[in-house]
Amino acid sequence: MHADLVNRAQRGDREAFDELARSAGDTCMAIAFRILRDFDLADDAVQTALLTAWTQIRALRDADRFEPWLHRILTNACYAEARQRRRWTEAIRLLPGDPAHGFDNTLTVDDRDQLERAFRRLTVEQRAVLVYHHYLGLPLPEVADRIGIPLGTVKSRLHHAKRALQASLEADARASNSQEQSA
Amino acid sequence: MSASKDLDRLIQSFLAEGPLELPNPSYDAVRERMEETRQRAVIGPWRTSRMGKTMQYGLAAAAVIVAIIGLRTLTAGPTPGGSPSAEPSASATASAPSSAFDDVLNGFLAARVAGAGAEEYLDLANTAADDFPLLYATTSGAPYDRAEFEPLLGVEWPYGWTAFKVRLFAGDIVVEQLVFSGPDSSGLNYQRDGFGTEIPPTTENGQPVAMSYTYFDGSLTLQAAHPWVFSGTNTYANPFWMRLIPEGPGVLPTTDAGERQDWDRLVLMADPVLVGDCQPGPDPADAAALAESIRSNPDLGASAPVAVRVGGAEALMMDVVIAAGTTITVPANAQGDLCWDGVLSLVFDRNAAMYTGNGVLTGQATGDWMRLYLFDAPEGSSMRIQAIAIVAPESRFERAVEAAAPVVDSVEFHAP
Repeated sequence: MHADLVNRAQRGDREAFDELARSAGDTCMAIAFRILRDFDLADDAVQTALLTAWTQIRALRDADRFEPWLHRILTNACYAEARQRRRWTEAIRLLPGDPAHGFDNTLTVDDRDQLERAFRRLTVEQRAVLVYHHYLGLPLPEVADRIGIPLGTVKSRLHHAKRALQASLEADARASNSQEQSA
Repeated sequence: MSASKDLDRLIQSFLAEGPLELPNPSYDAVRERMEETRQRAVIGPWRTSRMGKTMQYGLAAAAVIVAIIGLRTLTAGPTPGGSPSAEPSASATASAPSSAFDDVLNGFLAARVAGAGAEEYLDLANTAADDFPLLYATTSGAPYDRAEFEPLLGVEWPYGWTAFKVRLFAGDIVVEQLVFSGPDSSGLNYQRDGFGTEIPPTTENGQPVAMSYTYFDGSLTLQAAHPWVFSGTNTYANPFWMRLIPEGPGVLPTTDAGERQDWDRLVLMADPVLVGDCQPGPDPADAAALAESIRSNPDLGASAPVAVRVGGAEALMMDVVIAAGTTITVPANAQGDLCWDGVLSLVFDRNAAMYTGNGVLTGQATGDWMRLYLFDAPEGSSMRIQAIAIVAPESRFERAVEAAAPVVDSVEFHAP
């Protein structure tokens, strides 16, 4: 079905692309938010990615690979949004704890705060690898394909990301312990 | 946070939270902007594989003409000895060909000649400016005075990427590099392994330019150039290894996803072992003890160790040959995965593992030959023995050893 929609979109059929966008948009939003940790930036990135996909869809050779192709465009859009954000703000807005988004009860509030801080300290490229691997559950070669980088780079980013997360969490834990002791 | 919690599970739980839907107004906004936006025609040469020969030749000829125009524009741009501009020259952009790639390349090269601003043309998601060698100057630090480029046709690169060969001139010095762009790239890319073809990613006066690599927390550095392809990262993989690009023209490009299985390798190992599980143990005590245990093993056709001087350090050199199909046992972890710091792991046929258990894997030898350099690690180092292994089938062994010589010679140990 997707292949048919892609073929029609490649011939300029806006309705067909609209249908494609609506079938892929939610996943794109979920990915973009988890990479950027900001709802508005993620929304912008997804819109940019969808519009880019519309303009470039004729370059897509294999209609069955629409989703991986779109995700690669989305990843680049996320990088661009993240770079833009760095230019105009240093402030970090913490993720609001909105239960409507279905929190995982296995995480305590402390866990979540520490992870949020640690995650934000990662580069956007490291976050992207974590999201594709740990959120979408893609194997590493598929992550490499989705992001458009060599497998070795994916492994490297994943390793560094997890090491940085671990270090960040441990640093937070040490800080909180020393605060408790001084109190 | 409890240290016992598994990091992977925490990451998964954390990422499971968050919005799952794109708001409806966002779809409407996209649709609205689509009405004002035209789809792009496909002009990229990544579609040439679908075309007939006649059309391919036509496109190639057109690309060459376009490149010549671009080349003339660039070479007529910043003049030798003149004061180059950080901005792409007016002449470069005014007469630039219509291809978007060419426009970007013109700007990129003009910036490199000007000595600033080239980073803006890079796809920073894939290519950090630090990873782009000789961006503004030659290895001797000479700034560039002019540049040119040409499309590199006839190779189907991974990810639908297109390659250009760029040349930068600094007096008599010519730096030549492969630069990539792709349908989804946000800028130009450099690939330090050049996707593993016989075309070096960077040369200076025709000689591949060596890159510096650091291992084991800075305790060892070495220099390696094409035809060696770096694999893994400084901290990710153990062992740390490089692959030797096969000899001869027409070597197909490959990504790091393992399309090519017959790489010859140069491998670095810290505290390598012959037997035992994946946990580092007290034995062997030093390089001589390890050499002796290898030499005395009747299953290994090992030559007597010879004292050599490598990169300013004393080492023991020996060759190890195990006939293909010989049953060998190598260290493994509890899950039955091969331990990479086992000497024989390098010649273990992973596709022919016969038995797993009790911290070992039993299977067959590939028959590859191995040259080993064994060093005693410097005082205070976290390891006792540093090993470098060059592994290749007999038919390619001589070439691999010869190609590895400058890499091995470049090894430097640094005090912790």
